[in-house]
Amino acid sequence: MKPVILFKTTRDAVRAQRLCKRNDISCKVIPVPRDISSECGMALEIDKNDLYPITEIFIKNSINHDIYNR
Amino acid sequence: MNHYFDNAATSFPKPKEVSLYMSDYIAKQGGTYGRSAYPRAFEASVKVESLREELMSFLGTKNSSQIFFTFNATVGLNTLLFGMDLHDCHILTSPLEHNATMRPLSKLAKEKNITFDYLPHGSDGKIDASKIDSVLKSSTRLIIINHQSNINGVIQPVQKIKAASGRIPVLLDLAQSAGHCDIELDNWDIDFAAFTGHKGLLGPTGTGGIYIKDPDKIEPLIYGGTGSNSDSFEMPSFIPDKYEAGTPNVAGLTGLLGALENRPVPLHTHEDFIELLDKISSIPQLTIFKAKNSNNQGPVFSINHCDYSCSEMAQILYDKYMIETRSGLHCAPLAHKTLGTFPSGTVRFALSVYHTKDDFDYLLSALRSL
Repeated sequence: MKPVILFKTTRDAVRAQRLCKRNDISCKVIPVPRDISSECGMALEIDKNDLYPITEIFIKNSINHDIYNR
Repeated sequence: MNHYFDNAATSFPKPKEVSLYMSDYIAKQGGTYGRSAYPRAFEASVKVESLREELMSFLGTKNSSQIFFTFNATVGLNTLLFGMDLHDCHILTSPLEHNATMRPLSKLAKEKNITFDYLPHGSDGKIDASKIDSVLKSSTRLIIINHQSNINGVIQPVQKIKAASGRIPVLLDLAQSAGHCDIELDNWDIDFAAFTGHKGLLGPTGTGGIYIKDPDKIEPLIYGGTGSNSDSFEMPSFIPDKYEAGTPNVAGLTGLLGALENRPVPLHTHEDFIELLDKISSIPQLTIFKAKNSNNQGPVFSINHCDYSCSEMAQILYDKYMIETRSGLHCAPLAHKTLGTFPSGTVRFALSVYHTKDDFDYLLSALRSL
């Protein structure tokens, strides 16, 4: 299964999706998986190969995130 | 002809994209902010976040993460003033404050042992920054400035006031100035600000927000669901969720985005406006209330007539010329006391970018005929 990136806020999820788009990294907006949290927010599903470059970009843009490898 | 001169109450007309964006959201797009992950909800969330980014240039800040949405400037000012834990201290305000500030302050005075004084000023209410030292106390915790008066349009010299205030935090009420004046929250080193979306920014009612330089200093006013930390009864401590409980006015915020992305080119110049003020000043039956210096003049002014009350004058202007104005105290009794027009009030005229020189000529001829 593809890894999932979790965010504290909707704002960070929106900013993260935009950064993926801008950097030609494919991602899918999904509900936060129930086995991770009872959270009602959104998360990003991403290809494993893109994980390292995109998290570098997130860190550079001060986007708080956690990675969940399924 | 544009006969609507009540833009300090709410702007009209608005860019056509305001209603287009809103009707598109309501009729076709829909979706809530956060909470869900399907594309409709995500796109609605993107709109709200795009607005937050768009507002940066209007507020003069590089950090959109310090902008939080409220339903208007009044809710914003209440959030700030009741969230600061002010008690047993002294506050300074401008002499032209609106009741959106004065009523919360009055409550704080009664319940939290707050005292307040007014900043030194000239006869038009413009603050004299060189004299601020004389009113500062060791207990002064906050300075509140109504950036642009909703009565006579005076624009306060914020940068000088901040420089003269040392480390005392400054709260700016941008209700009248946002969209009309240059605002530089970062360069002026402003601590707190509140703005509305439906006046100079030309958006719909029910939109606005606050800016907080250091969010650790303000507790939320409203508690509730945020779509985050949903397993907890506690409000999130992180931003923007800390200040944005409950479903936001997505339709309104989308409309405000439409306004900001489609700013109209002004149909008159500042010089045209000052020329209008000069001509009105020369009408013998009228007393005009405006800034002494035209460089500090925002697009609002008031008048009184030697024979008619302000309410009679407003009615005549509408009945004879269909000119829409607001008469009375404009929710700003302090400003009227400062200007010597309390309790009788004034007739207020507030322009928008949509007024032309022809509209000014029409207004002038109506005022001359009174």
